[in-house]
Amino acid sequence: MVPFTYEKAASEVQATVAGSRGGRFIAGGATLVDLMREGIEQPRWLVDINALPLHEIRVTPQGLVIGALARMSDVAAHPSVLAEYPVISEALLEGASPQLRNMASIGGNLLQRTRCPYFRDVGADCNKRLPGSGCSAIAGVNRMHAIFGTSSYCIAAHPSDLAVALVTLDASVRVRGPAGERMLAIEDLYCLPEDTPDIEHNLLAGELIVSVDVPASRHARHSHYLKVRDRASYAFALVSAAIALEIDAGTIRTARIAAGGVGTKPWRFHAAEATLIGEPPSSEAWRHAANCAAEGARPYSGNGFKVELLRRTLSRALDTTGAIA
Amino acid sequence: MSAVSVGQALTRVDGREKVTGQARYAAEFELPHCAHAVLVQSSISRGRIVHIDVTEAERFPGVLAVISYRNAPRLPYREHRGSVDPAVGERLHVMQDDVIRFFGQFVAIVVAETLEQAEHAATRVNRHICARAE
Repeated sequence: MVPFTYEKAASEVQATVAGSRGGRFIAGGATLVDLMREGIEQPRWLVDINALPLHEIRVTPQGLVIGALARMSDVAAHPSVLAEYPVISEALLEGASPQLRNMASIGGNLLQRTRCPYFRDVGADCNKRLPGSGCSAIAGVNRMHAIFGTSSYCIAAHPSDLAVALVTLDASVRVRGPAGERMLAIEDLYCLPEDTPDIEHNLLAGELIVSVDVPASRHARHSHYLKVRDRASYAFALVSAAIALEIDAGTIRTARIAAGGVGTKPWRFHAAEATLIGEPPSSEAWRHAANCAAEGARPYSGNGFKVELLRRTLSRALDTTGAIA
Repeated sequence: MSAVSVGQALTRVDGREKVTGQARYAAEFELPHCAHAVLVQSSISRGRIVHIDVTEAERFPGVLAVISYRNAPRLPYREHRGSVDPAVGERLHVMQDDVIRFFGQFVAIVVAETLEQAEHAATRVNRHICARAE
């Protein structure tokens, strides 16, 4: 670890000014401390933002506003989240471990970095960590890697479960920085690797996520998260599915389908969603949507199993959600 | 071990301390005049150390020694002979030669007055190892 300055921000202005001058924000530290100890990230200036008043979880008839510093465990246990946005609660509870969930912030969860073992090994070539050095995963061990959104520069999967749940609910992040406040849809927060895998999101220097805003909806109430992985806890997804459905008088009015573990960013399946609109819920409808979702997947030597696993995970998650909608 | 305890859900004496972060592990006990050692590991899985330059690490404040195969004492290893299968293979003779046999093999030890000094100096040794993969 290289020596660094540590500063506790007493105000948002202090934080964003420091951020715009090169300071790195730290909240729960569940991503950053690991990466610093492994030499993957070497910030010279840490800005501790934990004292900022961004912990609140606010529920209104219009929607949910989750403070960026709210802890995963607090959001997951919130009665309104459980009742009106269950996919969020489920996604949070299936991530990390109880101890990590008590430490980790919502904002940090969204900005966490990939688990790709080559990214996390300073001895390996990695375009994300060191642009231009190559991608060790493409010809290496890539069982956990993506099948959508990849490029010849990077195939690393995005690790956040919460982000996948949020893309099904048309959530946005509220961001504040030296230039003022703006909203970014979750889908627009993240970048595809293309030829710059070191650029993962569209936040500008000094911009701080202050909250995640989720609009209230009928499909948010009938939502579900299913995570398939090697262990029952403390493991990242092989494939995960977030589903939200609105079914009225026996017809699907709204469908949202997204998956984790398969995309270089949380992956939403608009075409698959379209196959369901206006249809009655049925096993055939779910299977058809799942098959549609898997089209265009680009597997690598070690993760071909994810294509069929995606179909089955989506089918099952749709079936479960359909039963509660 | 009696048959009665096998398969039973027994309370661990240190369970609560461990899950609440109260448990103190060996490295967390402060003893007076205790030096700390940090190990430097190979980032290749097979090959030979061509060069280790420890001058930067040795000059770092608090560092007492940097040990590698170049200056480690010759240790009195005897050839290992398994009683069941004599072809079982030789165990690792630590710091006795320039050969790297596996990823993560220890190739140097940095000894310093504090753990932080040892850790930081270890990164300075890491930068100055040249190994040839074979």
